[in-house]
Amino acid sequence: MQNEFNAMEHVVGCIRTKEEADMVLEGIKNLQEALYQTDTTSLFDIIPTKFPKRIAQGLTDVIRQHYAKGDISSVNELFNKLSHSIQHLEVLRLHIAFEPTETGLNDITQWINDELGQGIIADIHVDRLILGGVRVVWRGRIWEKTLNQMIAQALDRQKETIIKDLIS
Amino acid sequence: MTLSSFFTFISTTAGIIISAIVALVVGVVVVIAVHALLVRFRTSRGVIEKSKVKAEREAEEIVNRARQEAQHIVLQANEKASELLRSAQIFQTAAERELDRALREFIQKEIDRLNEAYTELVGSYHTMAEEAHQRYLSNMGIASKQMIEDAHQSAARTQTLLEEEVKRFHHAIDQRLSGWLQNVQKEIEEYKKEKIRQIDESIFRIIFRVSQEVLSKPIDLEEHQGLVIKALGEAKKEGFFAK
Repeated sequence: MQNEFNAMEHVVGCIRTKEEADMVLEGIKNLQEALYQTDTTSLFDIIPTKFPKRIAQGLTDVIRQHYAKGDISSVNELFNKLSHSIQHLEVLRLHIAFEPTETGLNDITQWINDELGQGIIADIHVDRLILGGVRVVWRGRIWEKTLNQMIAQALDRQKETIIKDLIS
Repeated sequence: MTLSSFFTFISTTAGIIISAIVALVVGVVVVIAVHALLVRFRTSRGVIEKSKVKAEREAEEIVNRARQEAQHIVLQANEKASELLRSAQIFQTAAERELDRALREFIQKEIDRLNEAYTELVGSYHTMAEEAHQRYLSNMGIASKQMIEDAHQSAARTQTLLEEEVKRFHHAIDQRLSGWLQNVQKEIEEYKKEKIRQIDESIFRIIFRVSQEVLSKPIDLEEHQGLVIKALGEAKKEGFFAK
């Protein structure tokens, strides 16, 4: 039981973003649809195509353990619990000026896990107008430190000089 | 002159007077004839002196008789003339009355006839006037209809002409506007290019100034990601996530 919990926690912990969470939920739905088919190999064929690679391996291991017991209904129960856990992950929305690299995404999600705790995933929106920095939406509140904002403040400070330049 | 007309003439006042004069003249002629006869006898005084006295006496008698007859004739003529004059006056009065009556009757008849003619004329006039009025109205109606039709045709022709004129005007204006627009667009494009160049220069200067203040050097992707982590750290430090 403890092993099952750890395996499920591992799978959920591998989900970094809301996009991945939605993908996993959709994949679980597909797995549940294929669960009662006679050909069990088709279930494991679905996993690599419907889940991120980091999640696919852990998920495959968990399902194999349950299949080894020959209890298909317990596998279904596992899917239900997994969906429930994913649906209850808290979302931190981040507006950034670039498409993050895998490293960048790992850094961000790592920071979230380290600084804010487990059970929080990032919902990343690319908004190039902010130029740099981040706009954070958390529990209905907004915090912002962006280059766009900084430039606007700087422009405001240099307004008179700029107008002189434009007129000249 | 016929006999009846003669008597008619004699019965008038003038006729009476002339008759009296004629009688007087006859008397005078007789006297002159006698006198001439006496003169003739005097010339033969020597021959018939004896009969002179007799002749004178006879002549005097003849003259006297002639005078008496003449006077008688004159008196008779005068009486006749007076009688005729009276008769004439009576006749004149009667004639005048008759004439007056006839005239009044004639005048009344003429008045009646004229009244009748007037009434008839007035009736005819009314009828003619009514007919003329009706003809006038009819003609006016026809004329009005014709005028309206003419006016419509004229208006339609005018409208067509105006529309054609407006089309030509629009076409000419469009052509002019098109040419003008092309020139203006060309000028605007050149002006825009120049302004954009100026603005680019200004923006470049602005960004240069801003970058100097905000950024000390160009930002790469890693630095972007670093900025995000750094900003998140600041947010946490400010207690944003604790709330």
